Amino acid sequence: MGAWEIIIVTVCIGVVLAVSVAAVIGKKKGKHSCSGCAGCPHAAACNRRSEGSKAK
Amino acid sequence: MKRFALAGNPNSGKTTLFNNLTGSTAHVGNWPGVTVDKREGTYKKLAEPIAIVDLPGIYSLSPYTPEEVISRNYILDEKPDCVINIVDATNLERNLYLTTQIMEIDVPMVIALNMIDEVEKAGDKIDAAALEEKIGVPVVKISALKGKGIDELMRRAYECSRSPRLGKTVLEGGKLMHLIGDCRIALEGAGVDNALFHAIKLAELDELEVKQHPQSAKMVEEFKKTFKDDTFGSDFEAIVADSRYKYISHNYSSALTKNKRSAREKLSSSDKADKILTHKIWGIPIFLVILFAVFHLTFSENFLWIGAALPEGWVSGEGTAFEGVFGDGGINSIGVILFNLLDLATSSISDAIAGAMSAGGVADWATGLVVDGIFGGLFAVLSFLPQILLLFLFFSILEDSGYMARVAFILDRIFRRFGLSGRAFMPMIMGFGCSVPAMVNTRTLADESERIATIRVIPFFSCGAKLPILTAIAGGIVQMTGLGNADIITYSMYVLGIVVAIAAVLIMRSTTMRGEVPPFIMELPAYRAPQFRSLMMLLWDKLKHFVKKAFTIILASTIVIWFISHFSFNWKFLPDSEMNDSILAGIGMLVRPLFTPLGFGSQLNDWGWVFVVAAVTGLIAKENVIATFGTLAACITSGFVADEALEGVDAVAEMISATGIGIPALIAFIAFNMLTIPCFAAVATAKAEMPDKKRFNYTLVFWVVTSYLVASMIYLIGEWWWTSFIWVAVWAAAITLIVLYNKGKLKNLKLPKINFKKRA
Repeated sequence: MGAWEIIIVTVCIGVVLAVSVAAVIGKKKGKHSCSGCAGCPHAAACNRRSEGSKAK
Repeated sequence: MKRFALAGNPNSGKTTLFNNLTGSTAHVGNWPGVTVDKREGTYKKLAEPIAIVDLPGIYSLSPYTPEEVISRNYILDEKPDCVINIVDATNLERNLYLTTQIMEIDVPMVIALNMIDEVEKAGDKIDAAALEEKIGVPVVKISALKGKGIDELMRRAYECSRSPRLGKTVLEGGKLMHLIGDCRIALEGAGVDNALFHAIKLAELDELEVKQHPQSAKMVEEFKKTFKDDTFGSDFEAIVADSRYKYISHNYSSALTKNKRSAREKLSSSDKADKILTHKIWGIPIFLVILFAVFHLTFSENFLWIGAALPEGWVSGEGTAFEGVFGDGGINSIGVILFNLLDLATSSISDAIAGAMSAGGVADWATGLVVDGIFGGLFAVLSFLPQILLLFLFFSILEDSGYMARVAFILDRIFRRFGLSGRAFMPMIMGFGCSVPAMVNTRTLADESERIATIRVIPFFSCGAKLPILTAIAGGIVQMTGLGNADIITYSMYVLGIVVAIAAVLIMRSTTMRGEVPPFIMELPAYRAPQFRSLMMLLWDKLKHFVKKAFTIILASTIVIWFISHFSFNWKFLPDSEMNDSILAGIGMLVRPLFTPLGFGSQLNDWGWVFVVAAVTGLIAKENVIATFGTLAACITSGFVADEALEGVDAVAEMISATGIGIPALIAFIAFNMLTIPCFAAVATAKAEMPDKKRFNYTLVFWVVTSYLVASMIYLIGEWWWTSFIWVAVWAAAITLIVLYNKGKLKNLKLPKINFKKRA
């Protein structure tokens, strides 16, 4: 395997691990399987921090 | 941090004000019951930051539905620093009913007369100062939509929050007040907070109150024996409500000066529209035509069927870079044009990346992983984004205009026969966007059985994530048959979902979930032009989350799928042409006999396992079905099946036909994916919203059985028409059993018992 192949495989493994870890952490923090549906009444709870920062 | 709660009647503009105060993009709609859970944001324009809590709409503090309980409990138990009571100024008298109840709680409050611009436009006048003097709490005129009076409202709310306020009642009548006074003294003696409010609720025999204070309730019963009203006898709820309305009409209405002429004109224009749109006979056909128009605008490849009248090759752009983008024979609808343009862009990106990697000397397998594996899957899903957004936009326009509330009204007559009220239609229509908020919205349904039945059928209303499955497979069917009506196939599948939902509800409500259908009372909002900002905010929200999902869950899934489809069980790398020996193919082939009755199992050729694998990956997120197809199709077609390399949806269509699958099996595949267990997020929501684990488990079984049954019925009848007789016999037997069960004639039926213990 050359340098490019190693980079590609590493990035792919990194993406899969990052998504898996983020899902586990998200679930522990209480964001139960949030898929961020538009209009979801839980969206504010999930994004409370970002809403605060957007406030006038 | 101080906390201000927004409370008011449904559809009075609380969420619009919340968005205005906090800069949030929470969902607003022109129908009562959009908000079913409290949400928080921050207002930062005052001396200190204020937490704003948006509460679900309530007509009174005697709640009937779960989301109404949330509002009542928040005001009573969480003790906000100030309650901002949003009052719909166009319907002052009815909205003030809740105001008179909030006034009885020991909490600072401010009244916001919302939609004052509409009142003034109609030529009416409200004297806010006179109203404030009579009520004894600050009254501020605002327009949440236009941002008028917001600063003044917040300034006065902040002032109010500095000093406590004791609750006072507007109820009158010597005996009634004597009864309430006795209750209040007893509750205060017991150390209960907000004794006045609780005393009035106990006098009304409010269900929640009786549960919370059973001892006091017994005491009230004793007091009541000495009290009887001339008009209402011993119906204390009616006595209290009558007293409130008398007070409102005698005092508060005097602050309102109505322009009678303008009121009559407004009423007649609204009536004119409703006479047609909510007509007893034409209402439903008009709704179906509007629904079809939406699908035609989004999916049609022969817009308005004018293709035949056009000169040949007029729009095809043969020989140019945009060949077929705007039409091929017929003119493409706006949704298809946007889809084609994005498909063209993603194909060019794929080609450019493939060229650059090849020139850089990257190994073929790594190029395959990036171009076919990752981008093949990702772009196959992303191409559908314009159509998803367009469909969502059309539904939002219908919702914001107030038409969807009318549809709930006209469907009530039909739904009632199947055991649901028209109110259940609103969460169902939300299901076209996403099942998660739709399931949460069922909190507006008061009857538990009706609520569970609605949650179970919501996934049958095809959500945005299922749209790529419908469109891609419909496109495949069009290519295989040569017919140019992908929009009709997609529309039919949506209608199939609705029909299955109605049939399932009918069966549930006539067997295990029997019960009275609660009366349907819903305020029909005034027709309003949809707000551009609100629509754009919704679309932006949808776009943001779709892209986020594509570059996280779907991206990770495509990588995993590429790896397990290119390695064998003994961890040997396989080229595209040997993918049938891969781990993924092995799993698919093991499971696929289960899907043989559905038409996409063992009867297909060696590549047929792709359908089973796609259906399983769809459990994580429904977009994964097409992402899996995209990844596998790019590999299969580029290396083996097709003579020339294909990309995107064309590759998917080529792969589908290469598996040897027929049209009935393809339709069965769509039906199975549409009706089976939804994505993980929807399953988690269903679990949270179900009253117990047992009924949640039944729900999972219900989804699997329904999807399997309907898909196998479609396949078998489509493949062998004479099997329809067998299905008719099966359904006739099922209906007979239901009728006998309902008549109680199966009670004495003794089924053979199997004793597992003995056998063991």
